[in-house]
Amino acid sequence: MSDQASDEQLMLDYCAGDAAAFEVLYQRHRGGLYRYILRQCNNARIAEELYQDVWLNLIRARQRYKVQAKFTTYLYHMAHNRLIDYYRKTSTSLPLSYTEDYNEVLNNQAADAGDEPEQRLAGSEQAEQLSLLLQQLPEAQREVFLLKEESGMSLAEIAEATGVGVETVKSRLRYAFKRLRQAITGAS
Amino acid sequence: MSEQKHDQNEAFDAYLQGGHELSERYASLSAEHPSQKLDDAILAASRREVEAGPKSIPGGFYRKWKTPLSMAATVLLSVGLVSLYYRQSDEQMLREKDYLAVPAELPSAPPASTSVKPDVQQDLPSIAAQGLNRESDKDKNIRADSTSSDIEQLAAMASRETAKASSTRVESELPDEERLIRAPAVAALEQKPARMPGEKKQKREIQGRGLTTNPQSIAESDDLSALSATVLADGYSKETARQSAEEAQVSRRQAAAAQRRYRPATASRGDKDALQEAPAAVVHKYMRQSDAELESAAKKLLLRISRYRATGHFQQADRLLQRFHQRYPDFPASLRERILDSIAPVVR
Repeated sequence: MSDQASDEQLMLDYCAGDAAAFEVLYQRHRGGLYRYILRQCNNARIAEELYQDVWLNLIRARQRYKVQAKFTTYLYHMAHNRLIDYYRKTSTSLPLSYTEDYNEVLNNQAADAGDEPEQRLAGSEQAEQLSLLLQQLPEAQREVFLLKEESGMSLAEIAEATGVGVETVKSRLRYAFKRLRQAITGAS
Repeated sequence: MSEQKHDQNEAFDAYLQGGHELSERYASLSAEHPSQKLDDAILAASRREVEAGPKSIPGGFYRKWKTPLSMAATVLLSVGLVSLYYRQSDEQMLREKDYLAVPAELPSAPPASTSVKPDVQQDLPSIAAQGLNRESDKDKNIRADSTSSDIEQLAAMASRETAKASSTRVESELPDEERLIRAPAVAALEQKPARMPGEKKQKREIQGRGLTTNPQSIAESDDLSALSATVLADGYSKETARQSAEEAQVSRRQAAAAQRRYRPATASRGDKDALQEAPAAVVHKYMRQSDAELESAAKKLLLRISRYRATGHFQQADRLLQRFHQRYPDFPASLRERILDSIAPVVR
């Protein structure tokens, strides 16, 4: 019965005391959430720690859970906040890519550099190329791309999960797509 | 250049629609998963949480009752402060000896000396005993203040009565309205000796020594009589003022004579005996003065009630009127109503 239930209903069932509902929910999102965190922090040990924190926070906050948005948005919003805490703890400030005008800086840099990424990654394996190029993306752009690919959220949902405007999300995603696509077309 | 940009836009739109090559390439990347150990730990934690049952949210009580509690605290504090304010203001009003805050332009009652009780002119020793008995009556603050040193007060009152008689005579020649206006000023001058610094100490000394009179007190009262006459003369003819000053001097001499006369006889005896030996006229005047002071205080209290009513403070006025009835049950009703109606309400 639980396999066809929505995420929100499963979470409500778990809040009502159904532990099995949580297992179904967990199985649905464990891979995507883990990869999102892992590719954002690039460290398996730290990723596991953050991943566990996110789920434990969800478990502790179950009594306050109300269906106000998609469960996926709720879950990834918690993960995003945990990552931001991690960034702030490990460095003096947020990564520069999270600033609103970072895309303009990137635009100027790309105009100066021309098609440099395409030429540099031309000889690598495609998967490795993509993985490597993904790591070279700024954090904010990579986050938007990962959220789109791993959770399947729309732009509006990503905007809600990350706490920025839809246009900002679209801009970040556009730059991420542009760079990754250049590498792929160059490789192929 | 624009074509390339157009292609990029189209490709991005296609990517947003889904099924783009980039998404397929990303999906082909190695699919990392959390370890089984981590999965077990998280699922175990979820089961533990369910088995433990619903916990009370930290701070839940405060969050739930924050608004009602803060509102109740605000109401309680406000009511407490308001009631405290009213209680203090009423007590201060009743304790206040200085009723001179009554504005001079307000109409006042007729002179207090006109309401002398006929039974005061009875047997002098019994009246003197009554006067001493009043000393123990704590409720009547005004009388208690005036009987701490009887002989000294008698001498002072004698001179003051003389000056007052002269001023009454002067006032009787004036229109009623002006006389009413001037009454508070006279009362102010007459009450001033009660606030002179160092008087209590002098009174204690007098009580300790018996009934030795205090020349300084007499001198002060004489000065006040003269001052009273001077004030009364202000706005009148200089001749009237000179008459008042002369009468004040006469009263001063009479008081000094009375002092000299009674000092040898009363130096070694108690207050009661000394008062019994006082001349009838002096005791009579003393009794009149006490009644007058009492009546004056009642009138001032009525004026204050009237002022409260005029300014719209009806609750305070009613409360004060209730106390007035308790304190002065025998006050003439017609005079009371007249004083209460004397101040017109403030029109804004």
